[in-house]
Amino acid sequence: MDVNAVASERAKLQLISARAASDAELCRDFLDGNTQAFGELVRRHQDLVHRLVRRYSKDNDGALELAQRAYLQAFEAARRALPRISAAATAGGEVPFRSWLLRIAINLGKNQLRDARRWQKVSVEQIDIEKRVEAGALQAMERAQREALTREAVLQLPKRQREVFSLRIDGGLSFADVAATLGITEGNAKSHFHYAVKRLHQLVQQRLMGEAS
Amino acid sequence: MTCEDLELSVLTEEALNDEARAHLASCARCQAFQSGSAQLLADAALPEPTAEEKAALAGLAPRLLQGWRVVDRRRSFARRALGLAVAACVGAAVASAALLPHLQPRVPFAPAGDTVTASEWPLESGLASSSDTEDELDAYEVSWPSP
Repeated sequence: MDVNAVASERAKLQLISARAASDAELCRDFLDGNTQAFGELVRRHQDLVHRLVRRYSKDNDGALELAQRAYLQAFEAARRALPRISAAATAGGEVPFRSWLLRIAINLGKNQLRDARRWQKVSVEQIDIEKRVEAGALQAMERAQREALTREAVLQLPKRQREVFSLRIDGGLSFADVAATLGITEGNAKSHFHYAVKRLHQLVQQRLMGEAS
Repeated sequence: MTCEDLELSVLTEEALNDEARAHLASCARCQAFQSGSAQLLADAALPEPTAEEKAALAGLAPRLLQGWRVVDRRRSFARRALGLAVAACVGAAVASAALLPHLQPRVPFAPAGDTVTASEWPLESGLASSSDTEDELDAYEVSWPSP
């Protein structure tokens, strides 16, 4: 790389950092070979992605693996759609990199869940309970059991309800953000969340009654 | 204000208006829903990531970059292999088209041991004396202008 190119790259980075580059700009810079843009783009969303995929993972390594796969697929999608992205960006359109990333993360989580069910893996919740039982606190054990039942019930919610629930509770997104991510209206997102909570309540009650009997 | 409306307001954390507050104060079912759903959401929420998890997450970007490079390398290798395969196919097609006439076996005009002798020429055979040939010869002669 010659001196002019380095100077141009530096100027570009300064410009980007001065006005908090959009995801689209960072994405384009990364695909042009700028690894700093890649790092910035990853750091910007990594907490959110990690929070989302944790629910579907057996352990933290699994969560990191899922997060990594989600990023790679999102970058791959961005690379394929780059000409369209550029056109949208110049026309003032919003580039949906974050939406892609979050939806990919949730879908990967769902696939992971399906595979886990297929192979009948030991539930992480069960391990968690056993650890807490060892601590010997009865109250903590009951609470842990209730939490485990509830978290397991979350995974049995219908797809759209689970997506909304996960983005809202795990991701901490506003309903407007949830709606934008999933491509639905805000009212629809609220409605799905309402149904999700009611369904969750039913599932937990059924399980508690089943355990009692 | 119905119980459904109030449930939605409670879950979406909207500020309750006077009507909603009055309904909540007088409806035992909605009170139970409010407290039950708060407990349910607390149970459903995952615990905050531990310090170890956060530390591991900090190393995500370098791991990802490495992973991306591997994927990129594989992709460029696959693209090159595909290009080579296409070029090889095109080359083979062109070469076969150019060499095909040379590779076809030449059919000899007269096979050895079956030589045609002068006496076997059509004019010497019965064909030469056929009526068709004679007609043609007559027509040829007649067509010349008389001197």
